[in-house]
Amino acid sequence: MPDSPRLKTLQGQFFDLVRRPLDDRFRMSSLPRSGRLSQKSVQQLVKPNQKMTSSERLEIYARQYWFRVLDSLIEDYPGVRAILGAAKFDSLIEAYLVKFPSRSHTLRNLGNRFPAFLTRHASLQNARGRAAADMARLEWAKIEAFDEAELPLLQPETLAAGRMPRIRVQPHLRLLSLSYPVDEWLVKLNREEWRAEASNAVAAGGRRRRAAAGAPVLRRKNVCVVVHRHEFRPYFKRLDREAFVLLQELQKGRSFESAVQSALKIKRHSNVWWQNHLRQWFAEWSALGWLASRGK
Amino acid sequence: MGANRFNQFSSLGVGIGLRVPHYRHILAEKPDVSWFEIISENYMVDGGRPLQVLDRIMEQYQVVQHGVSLYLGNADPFNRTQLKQLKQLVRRSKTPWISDHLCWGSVNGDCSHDLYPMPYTKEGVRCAARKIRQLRDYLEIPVAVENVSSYAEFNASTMTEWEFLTEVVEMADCGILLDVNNIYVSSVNHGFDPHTYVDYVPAERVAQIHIAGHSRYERFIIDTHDHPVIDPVWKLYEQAIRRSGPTPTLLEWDAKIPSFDEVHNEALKAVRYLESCGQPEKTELSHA
Repeated sequence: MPDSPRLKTLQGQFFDLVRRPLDDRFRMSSLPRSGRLSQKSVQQLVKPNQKMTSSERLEIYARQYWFRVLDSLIEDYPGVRAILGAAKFDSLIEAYLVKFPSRSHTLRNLGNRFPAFLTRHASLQNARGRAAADMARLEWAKIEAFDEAELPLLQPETLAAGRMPRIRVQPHLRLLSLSYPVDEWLVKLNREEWRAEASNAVAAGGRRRRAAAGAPVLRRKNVCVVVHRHEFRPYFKRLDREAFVLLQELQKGRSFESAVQSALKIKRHSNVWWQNHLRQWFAEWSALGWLASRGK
Repeated sequence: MGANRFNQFSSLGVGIGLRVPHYRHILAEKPDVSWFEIISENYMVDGGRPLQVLDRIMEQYQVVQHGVSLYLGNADPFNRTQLKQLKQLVRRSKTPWISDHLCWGSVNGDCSHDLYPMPYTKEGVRCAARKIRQLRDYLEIPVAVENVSSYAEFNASTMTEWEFLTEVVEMADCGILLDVNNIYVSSVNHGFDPHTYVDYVPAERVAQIHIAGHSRYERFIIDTHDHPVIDPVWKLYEQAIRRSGPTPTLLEWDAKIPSFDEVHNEALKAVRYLESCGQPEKTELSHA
């Protein structure tokens, strides 16, 4: 039994009415005459005034809700929208929000289940759908890379000393094995870096429609991509498969020796090749700030 | 008054909301601003640019935290993870007080990301007051609650909004962040006299004041924070500080954000009112 049962009922009823999907003209869709969510229930819940009916007053909140959450996903996933087209994308994000309403205090996390939603969606089991799911993974990784934690950097002298260091990959690194080169497509979209901030203001002009770029040509190509933060900005970087596996193993918490053993299994190379590449990779990753010390 | 126990006896003057488009200007030019208000949720992250900028801003300026997602009027309990993140930020920012809205906005963990008006009932008063006390005890700093703009009213309400706000803050023993623009917006949308509202609230509890612009439509006003402050809102501001004294004041500008200088100049208009407000009028200590 909640502490405030009548309040809980009123709030639940109000929110259920507000988050019913809008119709094609962004109006509250029609309600049945009776029942828990009905024309009668709106009249019982919300006072009319001299200028507006109960439904019209509630509709202001319904439109604010949908504009806010839809805009947030449009802002977070411009690449997916470019691949699928605006109409398909808009219907998918509405279905996503009905199935997965926000569970976080911040809109930053609103799209965290969108990549998995696309992967499983029945209408996306084709090349375009798989490319869209890859793009969603990349765009979500970019959001995470922007503000995830950063640990103290592994000092270069630790590596130079030739010791087997206890290495940890920075928490902001995201390692993605993709079937389509969506990183190239996203760079072409040239979207602005900053997400909108939270505020208590209300968007006045309805949904912001970002002009969708032309849909990219879909050519399958397996790529290994690291999404990382450097000097406070997110970047993408492609890696060889061997280097990618090595980083994946380190990210799982494996020791340096164990991670290298896993990478060695990818492809046969000479000892000299491995020595040179390991030296080169670690120098580069260290310079990019990807590596942190795991401590004593 | 003005400086009181709900704002840790601050005499901060006029501040501006810290917004991303102004970061570069503020860090490079170090403008003469008394303080910045930050939206807590924008900095409740584990790393990256938001915290880096915040740390640099704090080297030069006092910041005060303002939240948009605590939902102090929710019938549901607080999210403990969110409270822990908020407390970490409070410790980092050294905010002298914290504010959020007297509203609700989520049900069973599903979030609206909006600020919904309360049903103005005794049950709502008890619920909000209990949660405000919990928040203050957990954060260990003063809490001020802000009146929201609203576009609908519950039939279940048994009192006016200003009566509700007053009962809540007195039961919770907390401060008020009086948003005079929100009072104006709601007065037009619901047809009441905004001056009655300002005159009623306990002036000795006003910890901070918000001023902002809004957008007027044919049948209602929306609280968009994308315009300069209009004259009727300045009049309400003048009335408010005549009662509460020179109170820390913050200009909100969240959309169609103009240059820093334009926002700053708009905020500085409040200085003229603060300088002329003199001593506050005597008010009764409580409506209870």
